[in-house]
Amino acid sequence: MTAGWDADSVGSLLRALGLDGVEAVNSELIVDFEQRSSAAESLERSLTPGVAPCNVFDASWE
Amino acid sequence: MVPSASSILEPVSRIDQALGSMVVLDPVGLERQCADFHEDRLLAGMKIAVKDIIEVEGLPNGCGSALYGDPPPPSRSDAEVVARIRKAGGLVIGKTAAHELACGVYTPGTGNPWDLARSPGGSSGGSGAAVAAGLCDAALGSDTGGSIRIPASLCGIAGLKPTYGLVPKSGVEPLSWSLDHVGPLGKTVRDCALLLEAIAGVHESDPTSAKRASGGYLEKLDAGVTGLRIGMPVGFFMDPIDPQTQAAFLAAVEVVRELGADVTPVDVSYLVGSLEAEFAIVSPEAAAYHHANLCRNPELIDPSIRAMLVAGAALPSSYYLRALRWRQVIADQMRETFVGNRLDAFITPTVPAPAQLHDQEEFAYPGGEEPVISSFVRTTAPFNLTGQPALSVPCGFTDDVLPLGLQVVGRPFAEDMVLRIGNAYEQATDWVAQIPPMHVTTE
Repeated sequence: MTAGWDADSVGSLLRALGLDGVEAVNSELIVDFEQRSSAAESLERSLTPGVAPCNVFDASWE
Repeated sequence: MVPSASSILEPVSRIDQALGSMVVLDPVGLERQCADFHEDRLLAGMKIAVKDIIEVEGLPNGCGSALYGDPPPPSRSDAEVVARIRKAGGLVIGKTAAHELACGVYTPGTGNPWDLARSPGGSSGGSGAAVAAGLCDAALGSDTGGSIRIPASLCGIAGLKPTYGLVPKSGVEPLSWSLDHVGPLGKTVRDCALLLEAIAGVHESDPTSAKRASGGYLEKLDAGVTGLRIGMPVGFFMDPIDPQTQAAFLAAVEVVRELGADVTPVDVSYLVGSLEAEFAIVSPEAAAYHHANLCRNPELIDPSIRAMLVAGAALPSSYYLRALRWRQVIADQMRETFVGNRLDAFITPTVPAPAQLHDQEEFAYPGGEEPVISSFVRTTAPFNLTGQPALSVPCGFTDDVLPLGLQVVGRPFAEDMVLRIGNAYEQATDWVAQIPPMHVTTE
């Protein structure tokens, strides 16, 4: 399920974060949110439940 | 012969008026270093420039951004990597232009020495241009999604993103803590090996620094590739790709085979999705770091970067966790690719196209259009996600004489292997001998 972003939901989120006025809540920003949401959903579909987040600070294979 | 600051900086100033690769020179610091010249040091006499997100004592650290002041205040001390360069006898000449906040692939205001109408890439575009134009022997860059390797490829020089944690980041302005790497760009692979030898190694003030031994990058540099097993990609890196870039890559594969390596095709289709994961990690990490800047001075941030930061701050944390889980899948699969195929290394085109025009936003491939940033980051960022070492070395030119790059990827902390393969290829070809129109020797 995507978050279904619109002007109200994006605007209220930015206000809650103290970011209102930082970025105009226009169609471009909403499309940007939609695309990022869609990308995250796409990643989710390919993940199995047992996969834990990467230990980002250890690149070794040992 | 003991160098002098004025003889070093005079041609730099002259050439850079048109190139725009340097943001500030350091005659005072350089004079001090010249007075302390010792021929027996590792980097003795090597002229080195530093990306403008890395602190150099007495010089402003502007990060390509108006956020840091006009002019930014001078740094009070050297970043650890700069201190190590000085200790090894390297001569720090000044700081190079960076794309704003190290977040972009254009580096506005800096030209490509092969064609000033084109970008040197980014975000370490000033470092790439300065090395290619002969203003310095090597430079420091940073790489969060390709920012060392992209300028190296576009400017026709070598550039290495080391393994995550190998080179300390103390004194380096972050973009994305878990994806940021610091590394060398040089005219040759040997220059990169020299600089890496000086800057690699654990540092206690950097919590991401890997607690393991480093060094020995020059010892096996000339060992050749005979008997090595090297993977090359099926799909992904070639889908889509500029035809001349693809032809140069396939020709490079043949050279590596003729040198005695066993080059075998491997399936890396699991890298589909790595671009989404990269952006889903960079956005919230950068937003967290720049939150105060975002709230107080949003007008000082480029609109496209600001929108990315806003999205990173506002979108649910579950998106970030999905990307980190996907990152684990990619890392596991890449390890299986290396172990299962008994690979010593993996080679790809560094990026799928040559340098873009300054205002070019998309590449038109035979298979369709793709935004410039997505094109470049698609082929470089997978190794920021896995943390593996990845080197770009010149592998030819387009018909318009624009450089192309070959990417050599190794197992974690196998920089010696990556440099060895890059050096063997470089020695077998004459790409590195080509000089761009904008160069100190052509003036």
